[in-house]
Amino acid sequence: MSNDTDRDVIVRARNVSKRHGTVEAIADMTLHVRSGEVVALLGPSGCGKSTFLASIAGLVRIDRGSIDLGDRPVSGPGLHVAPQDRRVGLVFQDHALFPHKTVADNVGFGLHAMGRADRRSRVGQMLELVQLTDKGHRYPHELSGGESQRVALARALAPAPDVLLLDEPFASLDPTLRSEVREEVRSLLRSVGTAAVMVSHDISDALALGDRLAILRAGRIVQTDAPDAIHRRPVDEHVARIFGPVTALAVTGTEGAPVTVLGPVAPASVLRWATGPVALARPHTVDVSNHRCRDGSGAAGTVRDRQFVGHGFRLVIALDDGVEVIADVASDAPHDIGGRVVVRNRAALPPAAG
Amino acid sequence: MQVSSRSTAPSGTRTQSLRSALTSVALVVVLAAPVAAVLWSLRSPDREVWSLLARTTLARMVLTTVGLAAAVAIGATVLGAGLAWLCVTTRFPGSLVFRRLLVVPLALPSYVSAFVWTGLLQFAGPVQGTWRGWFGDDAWFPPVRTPVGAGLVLILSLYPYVYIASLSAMREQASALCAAASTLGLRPRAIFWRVALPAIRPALAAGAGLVAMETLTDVGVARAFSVSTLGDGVLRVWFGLDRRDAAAELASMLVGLVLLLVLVERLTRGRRRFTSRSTSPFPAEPVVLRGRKAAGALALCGSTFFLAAGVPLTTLAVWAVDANRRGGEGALDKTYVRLLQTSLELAAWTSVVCVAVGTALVLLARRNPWRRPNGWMARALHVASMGYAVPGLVVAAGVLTVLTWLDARIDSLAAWNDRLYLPFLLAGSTAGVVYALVVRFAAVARENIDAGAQRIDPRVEQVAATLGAGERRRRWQVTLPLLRPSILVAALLVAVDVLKELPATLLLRPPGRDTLAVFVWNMTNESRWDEAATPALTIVLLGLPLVLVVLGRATAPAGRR
Repeated sequence: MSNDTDRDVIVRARNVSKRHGTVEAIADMTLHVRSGEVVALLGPSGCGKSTFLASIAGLVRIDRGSIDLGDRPVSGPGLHVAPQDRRVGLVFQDHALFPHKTVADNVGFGLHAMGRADRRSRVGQMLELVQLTDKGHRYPHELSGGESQRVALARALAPAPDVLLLDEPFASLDPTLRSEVREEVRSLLRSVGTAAVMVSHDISDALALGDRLAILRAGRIVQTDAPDAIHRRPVDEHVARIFGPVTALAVTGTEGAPVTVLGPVAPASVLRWATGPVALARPHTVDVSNHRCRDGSGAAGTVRDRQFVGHGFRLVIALDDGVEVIADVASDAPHDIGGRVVVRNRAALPPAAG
Repeated sequence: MQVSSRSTAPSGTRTQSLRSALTSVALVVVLAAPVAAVLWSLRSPDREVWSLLARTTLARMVLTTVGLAAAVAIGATVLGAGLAWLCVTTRFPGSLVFRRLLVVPLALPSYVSAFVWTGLLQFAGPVQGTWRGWFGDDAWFPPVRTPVGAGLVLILSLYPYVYIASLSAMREQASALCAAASTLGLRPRAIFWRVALPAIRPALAAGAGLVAMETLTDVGVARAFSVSTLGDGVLRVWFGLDRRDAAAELASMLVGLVLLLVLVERLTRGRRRFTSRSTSPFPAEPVVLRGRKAAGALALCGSTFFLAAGVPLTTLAVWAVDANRRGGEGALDKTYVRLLQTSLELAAWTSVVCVAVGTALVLLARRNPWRRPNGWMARALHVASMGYAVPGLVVAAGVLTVLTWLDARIDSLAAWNDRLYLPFLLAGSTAGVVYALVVRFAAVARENIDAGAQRIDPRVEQVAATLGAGERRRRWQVTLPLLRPSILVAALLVAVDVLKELPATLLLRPPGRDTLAVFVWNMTNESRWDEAATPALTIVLLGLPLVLVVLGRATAPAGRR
């Protein structure tokens, strides 16, 4: 992970813990966010991700650990800088706009230290950025969901915070609007270049915005890395499943020539999990055929279930030795339930084996 | 102090906590002192008066009071819930109009209805006169000034509490359950008994509790119907025997009864929860009544409205016109203007102070958007604002004790100077009355403002904090503007309550500062009903905004209150 001496680290959270009564909301969380980077905290509801966000914002007083923003310590033993003195921007799931203030007054709320003229021009600038120049006089209840999302962003970004915190920013939007707004926010964050921490339970939200993912479970970070790296080398089965159905195949054989039930795999693709070494088979990397290949690799099995998933069929195949494998096949090559098939894992094959 | 940047928490927050703790303690002490004073005085009771009472009327007084409260609570509950059920689930000619009209009696203080009815039905009154004209001079007429008469008038003027509570409960809680029950094949009558009634039980209990409390603390109706209740006894000891301490001690029995009421309600509720959060998007279609049933429903609603509001209002209007035509006391003259002015001044002062106190109590309880309210402090603040549950008589007695004590201190301080003679600086002042009224009605303000505060999304305040707004700026720019509608409604409700209030004002008013209500009381005590009519009618008219507020709430779409 990142080096503690990195000069451009914006958020430096070390061993942060917080209890709510007897429940440990977050435990020992360590996370660094570099400038211009968007880190997505991904985890199920109740895993403590919002508590962590609130700790950075100063809305929660942490029990142990420390948080620095840039080179300023803001939370630590005997230290708690009030939220108003932290220079963080916060966007809530339901946007929490001030219902009694116009769009322009909402955006200008954090600019009270500025002169009137400066404030007006900054508000105009922000409204232009989120393409709401003509809506400055509206009240929040007169906005659409996407518009109020953009106002919330403009309001949070107006005082040029050191870091932007987004708490489930897309959860209140309906699915069609959601992907659209996600794209808008993505390009907005890119253009502003503010470091951001985003919290979500939805992998597509996290992938859309996150340069890095931090996977949370029960108040702890279990893995932090770039999304593709996590996809390739998840630390356990739960993390692996975040990206969709997956079959973890136990690895046998020697270290130089590892083997699974679906045949040999590349040594580099072997994951050393606590449960033992495994190789992953994802539905789109599993080949299904009616006959054994010429080289004799692959495992025989029976199709247990079949479901149409749009781009083809998803098969659940029970191998003869009891392992279940999920495979996607093109819709023009259907295999009936109960049919006998032979399965190979394409992705994990050693390159030389072709 | 919050404005200073980088207020590293420990020291800054500790000063803040200390300051708000001190404010809370001060408010609690000021609000709770009168009741505490009354309870304290029980340590050294006035044996002479107590033994006199014990030998004569005490037992009867307690029994009458409790019996009357129970009977009125039951009667008002049956009437109020029945009318609400009829108006929500059925349609008959005029049902939509009656649904609103049935709230109107709320604007009529029970002591006004009481003197109208006793005036109408007394031996020399128009009703008995006509009666004797028809059936001869010896014709029997049911005795009017009895506990039964008082009970009927109280039921007619207090049923709206239950009616309103069940109206909103039926719409908010029972609608989905009733819809579900009807798809399960239950008939309307079974739905009422097995689903709707259990669902609105907490609302009924709250309404009935309020009715019982009002009955326990009533003085006007008891006096008009010559029923010897505890409240009436307090007044007799206070004015008749001129033993104020003993009156206060007697009044504290009322506190005991009210506490007993609260306890009984808590115990019977037990662990059960009756609220269901689901509201049906398809409220059950009302049953359209026809023929005899429609006539029956119309008769019930019509006669209730006629007896509870129609007759009193018409009578008051007629008497007021009479009094004005004749001139003299009770007409629209200088005296009237002075009474009105005093009433409005008192209402304005009390309402301003109550709203300030109520807002402070609410804000103290939710000071930091990121911290839960302190347990003991929140509880103390809650207890301190329970004045509404304390009878006005008790509050008045307590306030007098507290102020007399303070006056004695002030007087002894001023004693070094012969020219300063300050015996009744506070006890006989308008400020004293306002103090008592604030103790009594601060809870009304607090409850309304708190309900408004509950509707504020705490995240709005949290966002304000992250945008650099300190506690003070958050309070003035976010919390208070969002509370403004609730604060205005609270001010209105308190003002209306003050205009109607009788016992505390009666006991504490400074000489020459009679209010409309006190004038009505004085006139009716001398059976000068038509002279009481104009001020009484004024009180009713000034109370109409209350009806509108309550109506707006009870008929607002569910979930938007």
